[in-house]
Amino acid sequence: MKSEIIKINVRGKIIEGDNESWYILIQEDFENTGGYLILLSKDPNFTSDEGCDYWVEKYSNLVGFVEESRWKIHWLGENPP
Amino acid sequence: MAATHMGAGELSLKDKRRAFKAVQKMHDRQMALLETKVMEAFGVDPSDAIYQSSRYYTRLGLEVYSIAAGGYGAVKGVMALRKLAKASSLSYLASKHLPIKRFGASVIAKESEVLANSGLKNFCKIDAVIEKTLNGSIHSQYKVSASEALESGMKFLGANYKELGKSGSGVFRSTDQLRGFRIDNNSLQGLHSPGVPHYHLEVFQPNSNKPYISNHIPFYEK
Repeated sequence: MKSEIIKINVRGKIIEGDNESWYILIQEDFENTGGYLILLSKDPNFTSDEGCDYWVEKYSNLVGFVEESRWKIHWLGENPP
Repeated sequence: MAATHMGAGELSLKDKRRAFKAVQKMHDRQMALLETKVMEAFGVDPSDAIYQSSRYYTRLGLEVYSIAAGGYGAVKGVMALRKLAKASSLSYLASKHLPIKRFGASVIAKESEVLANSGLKNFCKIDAVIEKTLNGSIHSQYKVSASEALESGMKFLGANYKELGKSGSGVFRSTDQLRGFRIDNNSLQGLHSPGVPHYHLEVFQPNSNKPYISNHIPFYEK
């Protein structure tokens, strides 16, 4: 199975899988936690109250996380200001 | 060195005593180190009777922090919490950027009123938060104090939890890896949804990377 391309610090829209039609932003959080933050929001600017966040320790966990979420992601552009 | 989890029948009484002493010594070393830092941060007098009576039952770093935060944190305030960030294994509660919003008093008053009206005399918010998490809540209806956040995390994880990521990450996992307590810097600062300082209680399936429950629980400085 072809694994989904994962982009860091780039906004994407989930077009298939859990939280379909939500927006995603994956951030490296090496300075604080040494892992990755996965931010989800209904709002493309990530300012909505409707959202949630997850954390994984390693890149391999991130790959697993995306697989477990059955995500297909359309990557949009750069990190929102 | 003999593993401490060996079957009881495999160790003689003498061996068990020796192993127990070795573990106890290791605990004491870790405790002494952390305790020194906690006392520095909070200005706690080591001879203080109240502190000692609480300390007597404490074995783990998170618990030392909890005692300090509960008993002395209220007095010393957020500055001490920030200092502690640099010292304790639960450093994120006391992050150097801690911007806890000052909505604590009104929240407490409102919740107290609601609880009083509900007739729940023995209501325990910590247990309620845990119960709601296990029932699948993802956005907690309860707001808790910083010390309640720690207490709920500690209770949720049980004994022998581990910290993931780098030291001081604020991400903890239970010994069976099925429960998580996350109070990472980003969540602590409320930098993402729901936009207020919060922490997470999470539940995992075995060998899963994604929690199937991740409860976002707002908290306030108290």
